[in-house]
Amino acid sequence: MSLRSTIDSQEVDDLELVTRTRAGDRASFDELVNRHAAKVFRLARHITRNDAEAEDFLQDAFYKAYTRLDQFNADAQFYTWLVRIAVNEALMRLRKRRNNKTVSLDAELETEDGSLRREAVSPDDNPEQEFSRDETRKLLEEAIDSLDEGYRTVFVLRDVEGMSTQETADLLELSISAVKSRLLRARLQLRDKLKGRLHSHG
Amino acid sequence: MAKKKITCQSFLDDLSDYIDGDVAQEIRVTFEAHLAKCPNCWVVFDETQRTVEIFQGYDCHPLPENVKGRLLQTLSVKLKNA
Repeated sequence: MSLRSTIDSQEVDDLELVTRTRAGDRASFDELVNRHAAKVFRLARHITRNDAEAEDFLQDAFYKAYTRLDQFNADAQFYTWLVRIAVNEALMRLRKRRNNKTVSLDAELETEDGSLRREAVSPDDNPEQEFSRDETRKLLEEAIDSLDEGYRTVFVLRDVEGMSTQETADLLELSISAVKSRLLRARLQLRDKLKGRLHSHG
Repeated sequence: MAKKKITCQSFLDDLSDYIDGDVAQEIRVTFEAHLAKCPNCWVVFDETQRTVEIFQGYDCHPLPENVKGRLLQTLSVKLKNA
């Protein structure tokens, strides 16, 4: 009897897989890993900015999820719960290796004095046209990597992972206004970085 | 002059919400009127919106197949002892 084939052959939701895992079925946990590993890796890689560290962290996140599965509340989404473990793990690792560089993340944005680049561009100017998909992806990855941690994490959760402002605020223990402010700054910085990089190749 | 500065600033403050479609209808109408007459804010809005769309359309850092294999293998060993 193969539990794996049972999982593959029908739609089983995450909650059912969690229940089966709790009952001792390891194949069900492997299926949860299969479903969510890519997203957790992407999140880890964005936060840590390091492939090896992201892989290491990926293993720890799933290991911790497995050992804490009895704490999972069935009213929650498994992925959201997993992301919480993953983000906490990634931020903890980051803090360990980070120097004490501090920046003001939540200061007011200014519209004067050129703090925002506003040079006019053609509405038809499409930065993707000159690059292959892989090249563009690499530029995007580098642009995200270059953001400060506070902006990067908020941007990744909101715009890459598609979490809501409230979910992001809860996860990072920030106020709604701090999440919004950081998201805006991240987006504006990425706009500048992307434009500069892509134009330098053009 | 002073009025325009305030308008640009308040638009910028809510730019993310505007891009996300997360502003009240009356504010949206006000912003649209502002965008129609303020090329600077329009450029910021347009470029920022396109930046967000580009990021949302790409799967950055895809999971390498060998990483997934090692993950399952490592978990298999570790979870036996868990």
